[in-house]
Amino acid sequence: MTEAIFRVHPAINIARVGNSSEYYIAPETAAGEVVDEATGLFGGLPTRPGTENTPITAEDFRDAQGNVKRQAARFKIFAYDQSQNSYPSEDPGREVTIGDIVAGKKIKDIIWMVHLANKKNNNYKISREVTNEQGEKVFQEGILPYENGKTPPLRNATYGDDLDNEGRRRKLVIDAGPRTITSSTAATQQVHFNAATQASYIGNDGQSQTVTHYPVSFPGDHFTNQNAQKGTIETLGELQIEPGTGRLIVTGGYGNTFSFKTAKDKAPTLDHAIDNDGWFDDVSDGPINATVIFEDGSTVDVVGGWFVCTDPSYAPQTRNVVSTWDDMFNTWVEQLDLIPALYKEGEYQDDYPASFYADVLPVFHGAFLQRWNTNLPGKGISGHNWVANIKPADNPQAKIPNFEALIRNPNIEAENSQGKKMPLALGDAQKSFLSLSSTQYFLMQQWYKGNSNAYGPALGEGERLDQVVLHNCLGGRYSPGIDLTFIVRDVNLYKQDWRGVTGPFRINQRQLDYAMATDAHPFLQQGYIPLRTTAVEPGDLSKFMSQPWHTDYNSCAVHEPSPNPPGNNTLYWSWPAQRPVQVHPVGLCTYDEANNIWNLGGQLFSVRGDGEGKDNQTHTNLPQDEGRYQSYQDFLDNWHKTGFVIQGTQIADEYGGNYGKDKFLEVASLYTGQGDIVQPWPTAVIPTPEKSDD
Amino acid sequence: MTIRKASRLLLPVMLSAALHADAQAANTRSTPSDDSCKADASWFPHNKTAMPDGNGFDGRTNCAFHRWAWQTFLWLTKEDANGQPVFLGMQSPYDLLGMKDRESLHPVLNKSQTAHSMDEYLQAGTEGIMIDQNGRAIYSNQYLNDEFVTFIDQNQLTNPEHVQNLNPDTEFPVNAIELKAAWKIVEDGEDTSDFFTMKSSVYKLVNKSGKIVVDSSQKLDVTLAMVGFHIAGVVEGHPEMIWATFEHKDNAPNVQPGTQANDPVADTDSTFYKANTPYHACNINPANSPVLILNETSQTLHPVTQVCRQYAYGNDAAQTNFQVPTNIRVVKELNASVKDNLDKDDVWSNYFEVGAIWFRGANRLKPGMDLAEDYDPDIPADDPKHQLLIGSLKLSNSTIETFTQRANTMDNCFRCHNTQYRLPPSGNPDLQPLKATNLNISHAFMNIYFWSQEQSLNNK
Repeated sequence: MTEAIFRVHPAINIARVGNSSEYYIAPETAAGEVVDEATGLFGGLPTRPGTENTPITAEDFRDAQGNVKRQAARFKIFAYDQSQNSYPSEDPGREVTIGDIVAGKKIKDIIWMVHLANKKNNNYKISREVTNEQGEKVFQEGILPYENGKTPPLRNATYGDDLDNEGRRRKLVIDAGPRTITSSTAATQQVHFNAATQASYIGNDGQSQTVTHYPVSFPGDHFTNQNAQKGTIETLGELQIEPGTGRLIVTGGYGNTFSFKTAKDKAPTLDHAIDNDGWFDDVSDGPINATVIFEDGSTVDVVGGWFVCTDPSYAPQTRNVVSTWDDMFNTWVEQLDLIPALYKEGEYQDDYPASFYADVLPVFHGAFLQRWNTNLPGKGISGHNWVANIKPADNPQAKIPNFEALIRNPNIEAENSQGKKMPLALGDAQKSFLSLSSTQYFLMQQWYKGNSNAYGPALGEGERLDQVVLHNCLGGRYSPGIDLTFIVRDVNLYKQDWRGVTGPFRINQRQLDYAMATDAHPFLQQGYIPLRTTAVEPGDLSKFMSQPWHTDYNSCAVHEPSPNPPGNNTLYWSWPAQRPVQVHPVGLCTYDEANNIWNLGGQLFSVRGDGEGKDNQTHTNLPQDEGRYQSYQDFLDNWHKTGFVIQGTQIADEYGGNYGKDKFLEVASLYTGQGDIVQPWPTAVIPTPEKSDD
Repeated sequence: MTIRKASRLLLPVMLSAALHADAQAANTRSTPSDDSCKADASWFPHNKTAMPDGNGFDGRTNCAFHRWAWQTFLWLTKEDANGQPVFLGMQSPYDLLGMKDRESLHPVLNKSQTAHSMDEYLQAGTEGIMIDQNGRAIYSNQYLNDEFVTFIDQNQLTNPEHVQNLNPDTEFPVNAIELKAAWKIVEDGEDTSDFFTMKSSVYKLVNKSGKIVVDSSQKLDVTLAMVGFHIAGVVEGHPEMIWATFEHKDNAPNVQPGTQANDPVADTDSTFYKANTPYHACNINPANSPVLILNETSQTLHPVTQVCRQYAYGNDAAQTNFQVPTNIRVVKELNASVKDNLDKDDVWSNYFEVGAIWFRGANRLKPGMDLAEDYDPDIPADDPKHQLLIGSLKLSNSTIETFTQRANTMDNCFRCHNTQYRLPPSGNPDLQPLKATNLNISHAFMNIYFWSQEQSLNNK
């Protein structure tokens, strides 16, 4: 047994569905961060497969048939010589692979083990209806419905009223079971998460073992697909090894759905934004474990990571002003003693310096990039440009005369309903408008008071990967969200005893004894429940997301706040970074031959359908319904046509150049319609008793 | 309305009807009353209307504010010694900075982006272009009265350093006034006999760099008809200014309460509305849409803006608190009273006060107010001072704020005219922001501050 510590990084990595068998690698740079000063390239772009860090271009979003490539999650193993006692770790660690020598021993091979499942249908609904103090029926979302020992109502209640009910677990969970692959495996070999592929796991001897009778479960095993003509779900993805590196590549689903009748033989409907009983999608999640095998025959277990597969990323370079990382970091700072110098004994420490580039500029760049996914008017754009231009040497108070008037204070409840302040986006469950996390806000305040440095403490490469992956995911507004949801704020999700071997941000995965698996019973249990200490199983992260994901994505263009402040009729964006609403298509740009530059063109809705006028399935006369299909089913059929927003440097033009670093343009849209007219913000609701159209 | 063929468009500055001296003031009252708000006899005849003195202003009634608005309108539109309306003799913010293009209305695409954008066709907030039924852009320009200009000059507020050192509590003096007028280009054959018209010039619009901009080398001589008029001015106790707006009577139909998206707003044409256009098609702003097209040759734009007035008299008829019903009634009564007292041939009798808005109670202006709500959130609802704004709480001019009439974030003057600090509209990192001051209530003041900085940079 070596004394070195091995950990999978990123601790959590994100794959994304696509309807192509091809893929690109999940981004390993952060959206909103300038990663190449020479070209002005922003981070957040996925990596071309087969390369270390070459960002994709506009040509890489679709395959030769025009299908959406999937985003694969790439996992690496890092070795640490020292136990971790602080964050960042004293030991930055180093990536290792076959042939590397660690603590005097040579690595012979690495066995990876991944278990993917989708438990959305055997989980609670996202919303719970309650009666408020005024006697009104209101919906609670987020973690609130789990407080005081309560839970929201169940999805698919006709199949039983207990999530541990064996019938529910057997039928309503897609469980592909565990799979193993070794780093020495040929790059051409894929291990599928389908019924035809033998389940396998890492045994106690550190070797791969098959599970002869694993109760693999796919929807077709139990139900007749009610939308079979639109596809089915027979796999959750694949494992493969990256050529030349031994790293693990995990791909997820294809964006497919499968619908089934209720236990009372009632056909499913698709009429809710986030909770549709009788609908499977093919996203998934599960643990990434590994064992390192040395040439001397010894083995060592690797601290595992977690894989999550979710919606496509249609604007990978647009940073969320509040990201999943910001929420997770906030939880770890305030509740898990991550950085005592920053926060201890219930208080932020006044002498802790913020980092301009790590803590301040990402917020400003997040705001600055929103214009490419929204219909911000010129005043908003110029204000965002202003803050994005602030330099670490600038006097903050000269650049922003009143910080408190600019940015919503997350610690003052009344500000949740003040739309005038920033960020200008819809808020979390039970909050009208979005706020920075309290950690973000504190660090911004520190900078404003003059207590900041240009750079913060250096992260090890593994730690950097942990962070940037989640920088590229939606935070702040979890109703439920796109990538992960409110559970990232629940300490029960994590291994809390992080000092020593484990390190921070690790999912509290349940130790599964695959030797006990039998096809007579479903293997997975109810699993993790927010605010309870039950350990986390495969499928326990993605089960809190929309069922299926398509309806939430389609729905979340613009909305009124919820709760809607009295008198408000203005529409705001749900997830302006992660779900583009209004975009600048590349085809609307015009070329200035005299100056060899591209002029920015007009805006269209990102989701804009085919055909024109009333023939277009996205058409509406109501501003509150713009930018989406008016029927969820139509988005299910057309989600793959949605284009992608990418920086102009990555879009080659016919003149041998590109569209410029100053633009982020929509490419690769397959919609043939122009959609309805995009109007600058603010747009407002037209009250109506019901949906209206010509 | 259908604009009929004009027969009198010959003079550089022309009133389409003679202003006369015979006021019909027998029934007017001299004391403002919310029970019966009438024009004051002293305002008539129109060619004798005096500027109202804001000193000693008695703000105990809503009527008093609307009377100030109407008297100011009548004073501004009476003929001066040169035979033109008083307001046309006033200075523009250009003049304070010695800028050129005083004679032409000078529209530019990105308002406030450069020091040449005071005369504009882009509406505040959303850069929308209002396009009339002939496909021509609506233009607007601004004027400042002597009190305003003198205040700027005496405090040397065209010098950015003086603004930066200004006491934030400084207020505009009583009787300072700023104006904004909106103009429609009169086409050959249009009858504009019931509009105030004047000969003027605008720059041609051209397609450039993916935008619609003006070409300052190509001036177009045109006749302009006034369609909208903003009047903002200070009276004693109200440094926030009374913000009043007037429109031509035939501009656009009012949206009736309860109108549904597909309902026609009116079955008759207005100057800027085609009969039977449904509500959802009103006030569409394609500023950033590829459907917005300029034909450089004909100087016409597409699509035409179908204008509807979202809130008649600047208020939601369904609102019963904050003295809204009183204000609606007062404005109606006063409009009728003024019309009764103006000569029927007076072209200005074709204009009406849409409404006015101000602060409830005296001397409540302070730096840093965002005015996002009609009330002061820091004062309990049962306290009389809870209500901050009063008058026409949803006041827009359908020709100047066409596209922002409905969204609560921009649905009255104070939503944008507030005393918060301002970042440079151009985003130029070499400029200094404007700190929160009481003077920020005026966008003319704000523009002067940023333009003067740009001038200084250009001169270096």
